[in-house]
Amino acid sequence: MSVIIGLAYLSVGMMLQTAILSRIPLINGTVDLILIVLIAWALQDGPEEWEVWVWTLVGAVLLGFVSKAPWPLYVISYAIIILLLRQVQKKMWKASVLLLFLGIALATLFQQSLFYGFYRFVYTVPLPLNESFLYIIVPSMVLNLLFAFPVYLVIKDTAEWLHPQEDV
Amino acid sequence: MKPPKIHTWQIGVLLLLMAGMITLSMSGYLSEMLGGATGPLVSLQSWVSSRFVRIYTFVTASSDVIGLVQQNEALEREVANLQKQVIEMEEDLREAQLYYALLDFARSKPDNQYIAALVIGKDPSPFMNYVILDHGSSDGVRMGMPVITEKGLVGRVDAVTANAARVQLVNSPDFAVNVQTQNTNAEGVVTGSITGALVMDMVIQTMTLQPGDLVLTSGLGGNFPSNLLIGEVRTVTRQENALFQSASVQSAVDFRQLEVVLIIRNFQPVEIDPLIPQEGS
Repeated sequence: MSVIIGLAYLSVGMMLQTAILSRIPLINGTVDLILIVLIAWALQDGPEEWEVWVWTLVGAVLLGFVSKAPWPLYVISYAIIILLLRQVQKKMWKASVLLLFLGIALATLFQQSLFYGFYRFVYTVPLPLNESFLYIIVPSMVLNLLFAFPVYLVIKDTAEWLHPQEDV
Repeated sequence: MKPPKIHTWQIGVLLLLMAGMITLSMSGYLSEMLGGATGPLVSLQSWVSSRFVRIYTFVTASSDVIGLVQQNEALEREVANLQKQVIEMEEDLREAQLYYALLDFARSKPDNQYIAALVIGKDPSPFMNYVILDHGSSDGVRMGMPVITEKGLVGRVDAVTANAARVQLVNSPDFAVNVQTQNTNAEGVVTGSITGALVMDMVIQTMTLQPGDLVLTSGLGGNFPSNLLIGEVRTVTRQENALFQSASVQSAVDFRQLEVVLIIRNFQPVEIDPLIPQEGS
């Protein structure tokens, strides 16, 4: 069930991202809705490990399908982010909203830097580091943080619906 | 009971009285007499009538207010519907104007064959400027085909699926096209950037570049037809010790407002890679 819900959420998220949100940039940065959904899902207590990874794989492949960047780059970047986030989450008693914001900020920084490096050194596109950081990476991080909490609430409700927790 | 007997003299008196009254009335004396008697009555009736009208107005006005409120609500609903229709019609009109402009452009260049396509999305990666179109290989779209609007060059088809295509925009940092200016024939290369600004570079120092010059595709390299408008020279940067001069170019196309584009289907990009000598060969 969670796989079907995940597929639906991520498909709708990708459509929103490509059709609407990518056209509303902050300077030149855009929000990465799929990244926020995946991080919010990974921070929930209910989903099992395999469910988190299926969502991650689906989200990465969906984005890689429409983007100029190759899909393995999305898979690798998302996988590293989710892996690190799950490791941190296991060491904490309960994931807090602070971890969500911290995770999204660091994940955006990591992912956009990875993409910058890929375009700069593999595709040899002339991308100035300073401008890339100021006009793309930082604004994207701000946008992701703005969208983080609303998306987190939706994913939290979904996780509680899919995996109801017994009250202690 | 025996009815009272009327005498002839009584009838005569009555007739005389009637004749007297008629005479008084015709002579005008009676109206003065009656006026004094009916004046208070008329005043009383006027007062009663005015009070009645006020009370009637007060009673019926409350029901009218309810009716007016209902009427007002109905009118407000109608106004909202009409405003919605106006907005829809304005949107339709704007789309129609867009299509007419594209149609006029297509008719002005009858040698080219076009495929009209809607822009349905943008590449999620903010580093690159690519858009997604709703037409693909099943509609005849192929990789490398130039994409334009009536205002100028938009980009080229970068990837194609059966029902969609991805287009590399002119202002993407990985885009480059050979160009020349319209008046001075200064040749150079226009490239995009991460901010979306266009730069015309590789213009030799002896050529003249002036703000306001129109920048067109030159056709060199075989990737694009010649004479497609790209934009207008804004500022020129020339350094004495540099090999080339450069200029910032204001794009003719507003890439944030792209909705409908034309794909030139009968232009085949020339593959020149085999003609470029390899190092060591």
